[in-house]
Amino acid sequence: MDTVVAIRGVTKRYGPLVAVDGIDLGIRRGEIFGLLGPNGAGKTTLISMIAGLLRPTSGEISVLGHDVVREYRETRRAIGLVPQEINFDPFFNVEETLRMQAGYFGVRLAEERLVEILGALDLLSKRTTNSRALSGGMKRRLLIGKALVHDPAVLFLDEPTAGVDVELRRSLWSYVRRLRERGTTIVLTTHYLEEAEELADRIGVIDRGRLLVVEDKDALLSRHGAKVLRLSLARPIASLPAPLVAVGARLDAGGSVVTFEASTGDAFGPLLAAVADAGLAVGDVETRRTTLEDVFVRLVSRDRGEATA
Amino acid sequence: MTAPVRPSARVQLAAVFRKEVQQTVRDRRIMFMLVVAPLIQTVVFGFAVDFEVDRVPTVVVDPDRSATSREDARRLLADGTLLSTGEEISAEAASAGIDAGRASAALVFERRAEADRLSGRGQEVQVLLDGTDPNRTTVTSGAVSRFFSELGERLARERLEASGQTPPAQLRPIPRVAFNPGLATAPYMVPGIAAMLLVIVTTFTSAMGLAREREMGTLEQVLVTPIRPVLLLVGKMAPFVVIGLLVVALLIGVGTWLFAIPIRGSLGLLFLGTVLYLLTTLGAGLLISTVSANQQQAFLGGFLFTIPAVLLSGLMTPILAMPGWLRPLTLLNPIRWYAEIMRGVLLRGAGLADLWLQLAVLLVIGVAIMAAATLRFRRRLG
Ligand SMILES: Nc1ncnc2c1ncn2[C@@H]1O[C@H](COP(=O)(O)OP(=O)(O)O)[C@@H](O)[C@H]1O
Ligand SMILES: [Mg+2]
Repeated sequence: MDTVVAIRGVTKRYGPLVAVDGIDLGIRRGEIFGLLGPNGAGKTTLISMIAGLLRPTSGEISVLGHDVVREYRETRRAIGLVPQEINFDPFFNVEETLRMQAGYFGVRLAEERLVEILGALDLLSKRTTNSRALSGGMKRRLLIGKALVHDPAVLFLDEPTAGVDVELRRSLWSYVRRLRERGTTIVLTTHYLEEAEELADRIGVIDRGRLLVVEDKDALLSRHGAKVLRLSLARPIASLPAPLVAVGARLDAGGSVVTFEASTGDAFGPLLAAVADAGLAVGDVETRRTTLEDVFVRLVSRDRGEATA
Repeated sequence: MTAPVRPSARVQLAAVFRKEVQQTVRDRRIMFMLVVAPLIQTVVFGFAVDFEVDRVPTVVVDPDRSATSREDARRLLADGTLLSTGEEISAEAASAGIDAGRASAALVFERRAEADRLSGRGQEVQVLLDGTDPNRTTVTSGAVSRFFSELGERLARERLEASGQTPPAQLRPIPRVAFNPGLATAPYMVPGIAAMLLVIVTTFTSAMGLAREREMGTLEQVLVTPIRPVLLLVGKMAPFVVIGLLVVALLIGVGTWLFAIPIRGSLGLLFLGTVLYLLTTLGAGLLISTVSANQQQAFLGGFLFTIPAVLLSGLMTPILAMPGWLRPLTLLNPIRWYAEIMRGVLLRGAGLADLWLQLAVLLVIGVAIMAAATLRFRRRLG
């Protein structure tokens, strides 16, 4: 698997603020890479630097072997960027918008390609509608169309489903998968964990400008994954008995739920024995596997804990 | 995935140009501001900015009420510069009238005007003037002193002839005014006004246009494409050069029709000068937009450029009347050079041989501004 985008020691400062802090990352051809991080983590800053909209304070980025600053004409032809914020040209309709964007890339948009893009984004019936008159979801799809007119090798989607309804989100996801099947490499930023879990092959977790982890999604889930056991108590208790604290259980929901996490494979035996010894009346039992969300919260809080320690 | 096609610069330029044309033509307010507003303003200013001084309201104070004093007043008021608005009984009353704005000048005769003149002792006539408008005051006092010096000369001549002596030969300069014989203000002012309106309209349009795209986020969509900044800026300017030429053609049409402005030189030369001029004004707008974060800042920047540019162009105050340290600044001012080209071509029939310096200076300023705008635009990606 060759590297399409190579990011080496990239830092971006805004005065005293370090928005992106020494990131090294390679994006592989054909993958869907999920860049996951809370608001303000530095996701938009990082992909803006790849797209050539911002210059790194230090470090280098290359796309298909070309430097994004010195050889911007080569790299931008290989990149499509769907911005986080919706924008549109109020004086143009959908078709004009797409043709104009192709013009900026120096190519003419063939009719079949135009129809293909419009069809895939469910905008065929809006072909001659003014962009101003499109719904929010349609405007976002038009932005995706604009990023695809030049058939880029890598497509960046910056929080593509923020503020998008469930149905559209599903259809965008399936379109992203179709693009990947056609060979487009996709980098997706999101603070929405379900999205990364659903789509990504690999995941990078970013917080406060630093890349905390980069791993295959499945490996990440199983390595940091765990089983969670929730015991709903028939009668709430004021504090957790010492033996339960000793095995690592937590008291939640105002004293009515005992939560216990175990790495996959660990037995729940000692915990259940301790519950029985303490004479707690259990009303309901529930187990589930950890999600990316649990992993993410744990990674971020551990990082912040170390940073403040 | 197909191998990417080499981007064609021609396709890129055409896309930028077409987009700019379409969004300008579709935006009614911009079209109004670009074409109709300068036209209306030129006509209005052309009539309003009239520096010819006539019909200055004047009161007469004539306690003598003699044949000579009445004849003097009548003849002075007859030439049209002064217009009688009535009589006052005293110099104080006349002065109060000027203070109150009822009159701009007062002609005050002595009580013994006729007796003094006939006796040969000499006669004094007092002239009170409102100095609020220096130009008007100068012209008014000039008219009054010319009248009385001619009168004095005539009296002296008559006296010499009466005593049998030969009066000295008369010395009378006869100015012949070239190019604008009637000394009408409009043919001189209207080209200047056109230059001024053109700079305001084009600077603001280009500054605010780019700032608006930045504010709306659509500029970012252009910046992710491989288009070269200079191509983008040139493509954005080109439609406004065309519109600017159209506006100049319209203004000249209206100017010849309403203000009898002559077209003595080559319109081709004037259009060449206009293109170079627009390069500087549109370039200045682009430069302003590259240092502005939003439309308000671009708007302020437009003022900061256009107002000093107009004031220091020689259109409002003659360059020779400016303080010495300020004068060299006008050499950098495109309006000054363009006004010279316009007046030269229209009023004097000047050709390339007379105006090459003006054209060359505009070219140099224009290229420098465009280069600065392009560099700033690139650096902006910080
Ligand atoms: N132009 C800017 N000037 C100053 N600070 C900025 C600028 N752009 C972004 N930042 C800061 O950089 C950090 C990262 O922002 P961003 O990349 O937008 O985060 P994300 O996309 O992950 O939400 C934030 O703290 C943000 O406030
Ligand atoms: Mg963001």
